[in-house]
Amino acid sequence: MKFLPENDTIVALSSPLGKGAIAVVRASGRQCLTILNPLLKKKLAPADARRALFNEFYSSSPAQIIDQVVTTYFREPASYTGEDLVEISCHCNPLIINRIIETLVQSGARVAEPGEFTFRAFMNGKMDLSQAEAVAEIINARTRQSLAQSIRHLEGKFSERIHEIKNDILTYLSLLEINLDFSDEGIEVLPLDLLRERIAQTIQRVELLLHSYDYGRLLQEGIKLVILGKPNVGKSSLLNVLVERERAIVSEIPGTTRDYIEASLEIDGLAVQAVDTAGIRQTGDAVEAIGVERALALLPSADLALCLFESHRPPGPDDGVLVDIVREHREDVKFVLVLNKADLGVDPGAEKALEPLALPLVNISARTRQGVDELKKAIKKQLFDEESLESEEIVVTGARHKAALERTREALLNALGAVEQRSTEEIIAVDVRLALDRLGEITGETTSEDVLNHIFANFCIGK
Amino acid sequence: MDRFDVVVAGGGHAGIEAALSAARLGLKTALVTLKIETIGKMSCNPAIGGLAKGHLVREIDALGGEMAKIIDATGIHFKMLNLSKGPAVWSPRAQADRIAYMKEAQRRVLGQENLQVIAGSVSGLLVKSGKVAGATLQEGSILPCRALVLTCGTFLNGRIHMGLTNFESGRAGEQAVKGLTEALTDLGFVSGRLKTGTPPRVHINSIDFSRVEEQVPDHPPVPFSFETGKIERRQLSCYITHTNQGTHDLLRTGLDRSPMFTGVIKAVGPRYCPSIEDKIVRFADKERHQIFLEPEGFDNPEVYVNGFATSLPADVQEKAIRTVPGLENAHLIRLGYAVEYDFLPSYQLHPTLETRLVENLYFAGQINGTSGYEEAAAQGIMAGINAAQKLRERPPVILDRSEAYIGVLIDDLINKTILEPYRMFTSRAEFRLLLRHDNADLRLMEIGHEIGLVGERVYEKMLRRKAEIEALARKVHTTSISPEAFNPYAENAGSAPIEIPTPMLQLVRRPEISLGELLALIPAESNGDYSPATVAEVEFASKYEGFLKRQQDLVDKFKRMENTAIPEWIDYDAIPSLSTESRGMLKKVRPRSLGQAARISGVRNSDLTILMVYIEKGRYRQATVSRETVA
Ligand SMILES: Cc1cc2nc3c(=O)[nH]c(=O)nc-3n(C[C@H](O)[C@H](O)[C@H](O)COP(=O)(O)OP(=O)(O)OC[C@H]3O[C@@H](n4cnc5c(N)ncnc54)[C@H](O)[C@@H]3O)c2cc1C
Ligand SMILES: Nc1nc2c(ncn2[C@@H]2O[C@H](COP(=O)(O)OP(=O)(O)OP(=O)(O)O)[C@@H](O)[C@H]2O)c(=O)[nH]1
Ligand SMILES: [Mg+2]
Repeated sequence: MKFLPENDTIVALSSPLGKGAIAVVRASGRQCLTILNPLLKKKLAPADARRALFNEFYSSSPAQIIDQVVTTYFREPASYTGEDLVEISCHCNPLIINRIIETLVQSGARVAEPGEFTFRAFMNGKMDLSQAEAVAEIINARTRQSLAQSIRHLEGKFSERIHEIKNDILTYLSLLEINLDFSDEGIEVLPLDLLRERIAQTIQRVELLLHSYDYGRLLQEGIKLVILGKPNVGKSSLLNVLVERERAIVSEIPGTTRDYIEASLEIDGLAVQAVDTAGIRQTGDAVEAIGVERALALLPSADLALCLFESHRPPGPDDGVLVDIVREHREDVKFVLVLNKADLGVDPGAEKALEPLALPLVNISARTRQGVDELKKAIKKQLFDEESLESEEIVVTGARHKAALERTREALLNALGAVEQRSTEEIIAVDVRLALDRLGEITGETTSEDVLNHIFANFCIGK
Repeated sequence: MDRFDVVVAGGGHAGIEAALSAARLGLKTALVTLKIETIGKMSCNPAIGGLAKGHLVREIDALGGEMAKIIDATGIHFKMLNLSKGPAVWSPRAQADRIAYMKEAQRRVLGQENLQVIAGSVSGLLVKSGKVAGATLQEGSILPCRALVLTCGTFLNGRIHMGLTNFESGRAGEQAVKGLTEALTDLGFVSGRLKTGTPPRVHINSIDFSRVEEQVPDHPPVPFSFETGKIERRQLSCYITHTNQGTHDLLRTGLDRSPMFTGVIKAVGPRYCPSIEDKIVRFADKERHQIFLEPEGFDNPEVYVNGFATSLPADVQEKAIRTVPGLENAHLIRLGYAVEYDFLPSYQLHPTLETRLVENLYFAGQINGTSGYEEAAAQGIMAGINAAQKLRERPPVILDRSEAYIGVLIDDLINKTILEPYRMFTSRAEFRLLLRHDNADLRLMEIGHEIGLVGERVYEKMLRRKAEIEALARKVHTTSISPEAFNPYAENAGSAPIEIPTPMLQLVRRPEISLGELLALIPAESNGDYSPATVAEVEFASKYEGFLKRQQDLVDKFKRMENTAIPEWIDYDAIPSLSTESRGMLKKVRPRSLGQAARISGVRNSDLTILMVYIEKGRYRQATVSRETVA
């Protein structure tokens, strides 16, 4: 895809990933505020131009907080691109960054091409010397980096699938074009029914790939894991065991952890962002209540929650609160039940009481580390069920790829519509061509020359 | 010798258009060609138009060119192709009476005011301080001129191959042109070599017409030119037959004496026009290939065997052709052959077709790596116009990709690497739905008129047509049809009835509804008398409004990129961050706009961004410099 001056809203991470605690996501375009405001706690208005606001960024539906952010609105034309532009400073966590970008895309923005912000700045006459000099260097570095990234993405099965899809489309675009450019050559035409079938087939393939997207994202960005349980059950101890160092303070005093504590760790090569939380129980203490509330607020954005109970005795009333939470959220979050302190004994009553939840359950001891490997297995199994394990080889990674695939599907659906309306070839070809262009954001451009090459290579053309 | 304003070298399809347009724009013009009797000769198939090429002919006509008028006067088998598809890809095609076509072209050239026709061969050129000063003729004389247009076709160091025999020749029976390529490369031009071929011709009386299938022409024939009222000439049929396994077996026996398969011919030929031996080798499992038998005229016994291009030895050609049904006793009047020739890769040109190396020197036609009469004529008229514009100190005429197939053609020539003879296809035009053969006048006649090539009468006719289209479009947008009027018709047309008066526009959008029939449903007094062409135009625009709008949006964006100029001073070597591949291509092509840069093979988005940044920096620096100079 080559640049074109567009009016739509583009979004991208504009600070280098992995450096510093704060990341900046930028959105630029005429629809910037329309797209953003529904996602922000404090709505941006012209009066806020150039003012940094503490804000909250929500997912679209259901509306749940993704991160606490600082937003700065630059009003057209006084912005880098010369268009309405918003800078969102969020926590520099790949998960958060991607959720923010994804949410913006769901709400109508598009992932920017490398260099597209600068392109817009240029088209709108907004480049001054200092910007220009700095940007030239960055673009070059950035393209090299994103090139390396896409090459990594394009390795293996994913690339195979994408090329299968591209070839599918190219094949019937060629057939359509033969019917137009070589219709006097007596080459067998492509019947519309067959064409419909083939487009539908491609759409299915695209959807299959899109399906694997979430799984791919987990692999790439890591999973978010929350540890829940009543006070003193051993949450912080488990975190430390998993991290393999003393990250959280452990003490025999219930209520030691008052706010949540994050740590990065790895489970068999899988990046994990683990969060230890304040203990959950029936409480009158205001401070603790807030901690519990915060722990619960983490749940929706988590990929998996570990719920800790005690192994050596049956659950008590505080455990009951947690059981209720599990019941309430079991549709949106994956759970593993962990019975800790197995070194003190394993009471069959404990397991029995939790049976009705029908969730994977592991006995461990954070003290002796027994059962920890088993727990890791259970975590992986729960995250990647049989179905996705099978598709492990093909995953769509990166918001850009996902967006490109979604746009490809949209064009194919339009083409399908045109076929169903019995439109003639040159009309159908418009959307088939478009599908190929959009896929081109992943595969690189397909030119009309490529289509002709395909035709000449596969059909006997020429009087 | 007198000094000419413009000298055109070559009386082929490019040369004719170049010479006529320059002369008509008031410039003192000379057409130098090897033989006056071969002006307008059709080297290969005597047919004009066809898919995408028909569009080119219509555009040439809308600009005030000649090709459409010549074929209208001499066509013997007109056919509108692709009628089963949408109107955007309909394409007019006609077989010509080969001799009549040539005579008609000569009559027009020889009768043209301001145009002197000279028999001779241009073998060099005179350049003074980077500018054309004259053309050198083979015998040594010099024709002084201000501008020179080279349209040498397949003649530059032409070499004909037939089996393993080969000899110098530009076209069957005609001498090659020697020395001119070398004169150009001495000046610094780069040349390359391409190849093309042609089939044998058989005597009409030796064909058994009972064994072939007849293909009748359209009735009535649709003319090419917006000026032609009606086609007067009697029409002839063409015929279809097929090769078979026997043909293929025989052809195979000659492969060891094929100049192509033995490597004697090194140049690349067009893949869309393969020889018959190429077809049977590359598509060995195909049981038969279609052959068209096309008569070359009334008083001409030659029949063109379309689909049987070959450079195999004579004995193989004859034996193989006699295995084809209907051709069992064929008498070959001419043999098929291949020709290799020099061309000048067209990235060396400005979009005006003027060379970048030598001012006022223009190249047009097959010399630029194209193939086909229509492609040649299209370049010819553009070179003629631009030479004249420049000498008259008027702005250049450059058509862009959204305006015309001619724009697509020249833009491709300049920005793409030509690896095989270039031919037009509709799929090359990204704005295909907008570039129709029947709206070429609406798209381009304004330009032709402004330059001075399109006369008042036909121009006004176009303006009236335009007004009529606008009137009908307004009507379709503003008139509603009542259920009483629509529903009885709807039932017949298999369309859903309506309950309340419904806008015509909405009804036309239904695939099963035709605008002509809808118009018949509204009261006669409010129903102006629209020509079928107008109805067709508005019907198309209404039915496909959404698609057309999408293409128009793309055009608008495209234009913004085209209008972003890349300044002349840019020095690609001074931009460190460009990729090596891009830098090479950018230096070679020297694009005029960002849009053009984006189309060059190998130039990436990141390179474009870097380019923009650099331009911006340079602009700032230049502004600073000029401020300093002022101070
Ligand atoms: C064997 C053969 C096969 C072909 N096959 C196909 C095909 O399959 N499909 C297709 O689309 N097209 C084909 N063509 C191409 C088509 O004929 C040409 O593209 C078209 O005629 C080019 O037009 P032109 O004006 O550039 O040159 P031409 O029509 O070749 O005319 C060149 C003219 O210039 C004159 N001339 C050349 N050099 C000089 C000089 N130095 N001084 C003075 N006069 C000069 C010649 O006498 C000639 O009259 C074929 C051509 C040949 C010869
Ligand atoms: N015997 C035994 N003791 C454990 C185990 N895990 C944790 N403990 C002890 O239990 C006490 C509480 O441990 P923490 O990890 O602080 O518990 P917590 O759930 O984080 O507690 P709060 O932060 O107060 O909610 C400490 O004294 C630990 O040493 C275990 O597997 N076996
Ligand atoms: Mg704790």
